[in-house]
Amino acid sequence: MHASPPTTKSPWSQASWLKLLHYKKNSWNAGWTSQIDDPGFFLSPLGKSDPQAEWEATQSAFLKNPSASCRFPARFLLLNQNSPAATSALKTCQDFQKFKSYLSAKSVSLIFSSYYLNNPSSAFGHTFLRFNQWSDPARQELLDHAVDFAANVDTQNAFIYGVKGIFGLFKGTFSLKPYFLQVRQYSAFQSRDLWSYRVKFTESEVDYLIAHLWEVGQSWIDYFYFDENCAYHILGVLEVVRPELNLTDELPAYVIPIDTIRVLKRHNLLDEPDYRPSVKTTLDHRLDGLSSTQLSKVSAWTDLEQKPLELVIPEDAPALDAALDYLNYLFPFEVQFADSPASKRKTQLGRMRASIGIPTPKLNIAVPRHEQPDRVHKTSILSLMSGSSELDKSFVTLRWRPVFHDFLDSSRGFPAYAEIEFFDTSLRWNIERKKFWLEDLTMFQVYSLSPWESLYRPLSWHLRVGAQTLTADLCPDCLAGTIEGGGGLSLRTLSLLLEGEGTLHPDLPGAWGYLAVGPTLILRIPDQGDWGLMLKGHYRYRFFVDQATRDHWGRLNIRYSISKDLSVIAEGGLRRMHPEGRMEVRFYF
Amino acid sequence: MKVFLTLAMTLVATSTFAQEKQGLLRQADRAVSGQRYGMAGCGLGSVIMGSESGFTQVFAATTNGTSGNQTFGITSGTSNCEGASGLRGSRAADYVVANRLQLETDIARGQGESIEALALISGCDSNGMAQNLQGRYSEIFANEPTNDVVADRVVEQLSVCTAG
Repeated sequence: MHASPPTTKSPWSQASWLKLLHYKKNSWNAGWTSQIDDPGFFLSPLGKSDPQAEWEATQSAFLKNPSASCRFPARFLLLNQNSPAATSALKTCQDFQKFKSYLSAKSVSLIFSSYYLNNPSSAFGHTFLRFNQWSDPARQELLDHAVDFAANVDTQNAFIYGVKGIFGLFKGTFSLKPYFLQVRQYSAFQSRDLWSYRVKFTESEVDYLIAHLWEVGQSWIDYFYFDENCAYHILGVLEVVRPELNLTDELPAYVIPIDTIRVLKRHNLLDEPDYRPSVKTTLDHRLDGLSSTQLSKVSAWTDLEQKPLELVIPEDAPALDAALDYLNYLFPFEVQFADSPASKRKTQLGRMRASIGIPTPKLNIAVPRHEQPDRVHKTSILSLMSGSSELDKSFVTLRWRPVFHDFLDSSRGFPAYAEIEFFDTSLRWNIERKKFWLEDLTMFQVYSLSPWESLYRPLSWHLRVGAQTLTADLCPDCLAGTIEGGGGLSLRTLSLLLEGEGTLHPDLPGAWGYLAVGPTLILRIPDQGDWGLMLKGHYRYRFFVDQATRDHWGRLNIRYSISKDLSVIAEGGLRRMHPEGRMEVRFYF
Repeated sequence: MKVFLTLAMTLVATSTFAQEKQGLLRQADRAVSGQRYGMAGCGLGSVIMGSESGFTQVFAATTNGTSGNQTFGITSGTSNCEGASGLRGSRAADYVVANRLQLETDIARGQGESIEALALISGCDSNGMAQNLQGRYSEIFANEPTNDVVADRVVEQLSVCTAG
């Protein structure tokens, strides 16, 4: 470290320099460490942990070697106070200019790719940047370019994947892609709606961002799933443009993409979003307009076992339009190969559709504002419950859940069919026994209850991994590890699942645990104004236990949202025919 | 309990959103078609998306990395999709190769965003082009054509387009 004390005047201690190099204050001393891990990003050998040395090395590099500015154009602009002379000096940087003209950006948008529960690594959504070449409305955004940050995964082993991810052993890099490719991946291939929020940057701020991406795009960063992840570093490069704001410091310890949008919204840096419906959303709208005769035609045309009659009437056009989308949705992988049965069928249907002529009218899908991602409740909850049950007498429970959503939360801004929770922790105080214990620790829980519709039959499923305190009649004061999961079907908001459970605890009979199996029934009325309702019934038959072999309960919950950050929930139910009830106050933060 | 915790940790970790590994992009046609896709800014050759895990470095694979780095490389064709009029030939072809999937659907319908983008690249009037392509759907997609063949056939149609 350099001996000279930092003064507010020294240029290297300015936020603009510290942010540009992604320095963060050390927690263990007064020094700094950059989050960029690639040594090639620094001009001084001490650069990673010494902002001053890096500043001086950069300054002398620019003096000695003009081409250094082509590798670090944003630094060059910063050191020269963004002067017109500096901008024109950069004009000689061939590759950088090529990159810039490739983007031809007038503005930049932050894109949120919505929650995708079928792939766990996308369950919280994803964010990336799009550089817009045109100002509305004559825009052709498909021809724009996207910048993405992702880990370079070098293993297919789930365990190694997990360990490397947690401990930052993957290298994360930025990549540049045509936006149509992103649309194909997220909107067509994975059926995820895309929301794009234009960032309120001026054109020169966008230019500075591009200059910085050129610097950082050629370097790698250790990738951590929980904090330094894709969403984090996308916010990190935006922060460089507004160094005075400390955007990344406002993120919680565990970063999910919507948090970064929330931070930008708080500083009024985002416009209202544009919406791009996914293939599935588009298909739903086409199907909604069809009669039952047309629906059965769609289903026959897309059945690869049946040979379709190529006889069409002009009135078939909307049904054929839907059938084409349906094939793309059903066989996203196969339709990419011209000789696959799905692709052959698509060409056949396309021929039928084209023979009718008449262009399909543009589909006007209203933006589903209810699902707009930034309208979701805050990520963490703290709740206080009080109630009584015959099994447990009077109790008070304190619950903390850092992420993210269950069916009793307002479904605004989140898919109504999904629940996803991490590290859900409940501490219970039994008033009569004057005893305090860990009631429940759910490491991870997901429900995906996509309803059956006219043509799709998606599987509903549930998975929970955690620990729970067992009821006293089964095993007093036993905190047991549990894995529970199952599958079934949903009709609108009514779901039926068949589930299995494995629970481990040394005090259980046989000194290990039990297995259980049984149905779960869920009825939800997610959002009626500020009200929500859920009815849940549960039956389990337990093997390998001597008592409490049949566990069954039914519970009714009613939620009222007092504000966006506060709701109350009343619950009443019967567990093994014993009544129980409680009140919950839920605070979002 | 230890086993359980390890298991839980693994599940938790593998379940985070953080990196979108499922988007396997594989360069299918590039190898056979050589130089042409090296020019592509709009197209990246034919890119296959798959559900297999274990993709590495999408971009190291799909770009030539000519700018002195592998991961943030841009292809050598400079700015390509800026929408300047008067572009003809290979750029449009590259776009068709990369977007065949959506184009096939839109051409059947005689309307759609992927056609509008193609019209912009090739400087054609979008409606007229859409109508013309729709009329030639059976020709363009006859005999299970590869993306290259589709591109050639579409580009042939563009040569007669009216300026947009």
